[in-house]
Amino acid sequence: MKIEKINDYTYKISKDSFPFMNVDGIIYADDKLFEYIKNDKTIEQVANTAALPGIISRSIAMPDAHQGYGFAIGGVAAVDLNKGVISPGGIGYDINCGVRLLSTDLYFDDIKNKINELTKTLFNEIPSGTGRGGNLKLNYSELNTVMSEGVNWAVKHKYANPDDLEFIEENGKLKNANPDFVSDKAKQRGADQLGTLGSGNHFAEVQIVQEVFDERVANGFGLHKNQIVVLIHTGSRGLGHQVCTDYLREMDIAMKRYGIKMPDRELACVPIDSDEGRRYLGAMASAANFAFNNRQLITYNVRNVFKKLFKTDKVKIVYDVCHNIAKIEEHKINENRMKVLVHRKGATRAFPPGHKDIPQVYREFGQPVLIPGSMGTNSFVLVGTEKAMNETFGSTCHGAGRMLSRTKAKGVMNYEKAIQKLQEKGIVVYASSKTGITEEIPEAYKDVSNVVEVVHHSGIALKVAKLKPLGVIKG
Amino acid sequence: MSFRYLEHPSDIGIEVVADKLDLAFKECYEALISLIFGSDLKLKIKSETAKKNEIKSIDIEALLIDFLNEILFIIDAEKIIPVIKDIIIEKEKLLFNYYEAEFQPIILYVKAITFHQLKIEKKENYFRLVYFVDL
Repeated sequence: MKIEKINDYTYKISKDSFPFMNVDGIIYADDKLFEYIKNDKTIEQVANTAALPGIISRSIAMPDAHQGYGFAIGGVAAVDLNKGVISPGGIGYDINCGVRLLSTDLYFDDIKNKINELTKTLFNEIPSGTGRGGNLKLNYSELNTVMSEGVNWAVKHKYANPDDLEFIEENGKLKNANPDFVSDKAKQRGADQLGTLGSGNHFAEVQIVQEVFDERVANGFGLHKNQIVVLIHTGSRGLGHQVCTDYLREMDIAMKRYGIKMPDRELACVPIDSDEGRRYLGAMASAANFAFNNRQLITYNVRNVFKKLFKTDKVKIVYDVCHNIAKIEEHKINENRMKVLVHRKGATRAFPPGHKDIPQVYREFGQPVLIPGSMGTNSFVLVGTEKAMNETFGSTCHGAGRMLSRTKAKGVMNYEKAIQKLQEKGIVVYASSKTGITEEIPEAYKDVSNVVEVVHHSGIALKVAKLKPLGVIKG
Repeated sequence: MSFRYLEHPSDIGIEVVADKLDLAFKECYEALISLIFGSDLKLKIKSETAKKNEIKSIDIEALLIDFLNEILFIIDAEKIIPVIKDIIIEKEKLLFNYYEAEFQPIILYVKAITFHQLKIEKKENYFRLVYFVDL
């Protein structure tokens, strides 16, 4: 394989490395993160992704990249809308897994004596953990409405305020959703899971704005030092997982009819404009809308808790971003503007100042980019840039990136030690299981600060603020 | 017959060895149940009537994935633990009978079974199967 270091933050995999590569691979990483990336199959997966028919310009991996299924997690690939393919592996099994940041009108001194009570109450109110259903049990008709209307459904049912919509990517609704393309199996899996956090690396955290790097942009986002915020990380639950499973199988069979051959079966794909492609995009959008509503219902619970404990109803959405999704977007390719399909798997959209698809009040600054750290570590708010538009189809990283297996993580420290370490940092934790703690220790992940520095110095998103956890809720 | 878990940066793999292919498939199912519910699971059968299920796929690898994803669906959507009595494989078709056991707390939530590094190998006098799950 022909790998070349381009600069301090970028490596290139030449398309001459393999005959099936249509474009080069580009990995954003410094030397330290590149050493981690070399240890698993990330580089091979970036090369495999470069084989997608119709792929434009480059197959990209972010500094938090690690081995996934088909695409690397942290992978971005844009394809020609007319000649290109859609690959469910380029979105992942958790469609619209994403992050939402809520701001409050409270500061550290307002809550410092109630952090344990706040975290415990949130843990009791937000359904989390394995096998725990949500507070709503929807029939198929209601579920179809959730999927087709996006967060407009939540507004109608008073789980959202009308002015929430603008601060959610795509205004909380992917318009091409078609629940008819979602299987009964997927609906069965998802019917009782709306409004649930799930488990694994999903979480809700009470945080404090610890440091502001860009005062102007932070103020523009409504963020101030010592302010209390809440970060939510979850996705489309069993419904999204089943949509991906269903269509990967369907495309695995259909690919041969279209004469497509890929080096990895998890990169099964079909032409965007095929019957299978259109149906997957409709189902994917439906699952994405389910996930937006999932984060909205959790927001509703958070708002109720803050109202109960602190008598405030000023819990606002700063922004909500997807990090597993495919979108039709307009980008400049070789001086021409054209519509392309951008796959982002473990990658976040990072649109620049002036872009029409970001909230009006943010347009002078750029799109908020939310980067969760691992449990007990900092999270970050960044802002999108023109450089991201030029180099990565308006994309950046999504988190810390895992580097230790779950077994190895559990071997690093036991549950009691993990809790003690968090308590020493002043962090309160409530979790549905001990496994949820021991498998998610910070030592299992890359250093998110390192990831963010690479992103910042390569210019594909710029630092705005650093957030510190105070209370953690995990499944 | 036996199975073991394999290391993966973010998920888990399962390796199975068995004398016959249908037994190997059954061991893959056992390994999945053990992963989800824990190794000391005590099952309580709800009904004496077995349910029948048939899976058809395009090749033997897809058959394993489709079979295990069906088990996952039964667990996640129907909230029961399927207790498989027997599996019959005929080319790219699999038939299995299962009893419904009472649902129990999930230890590890599995999103899906994947084709990633999937192996179905016929050795001299045994079969070796490897698959990875998305957690």
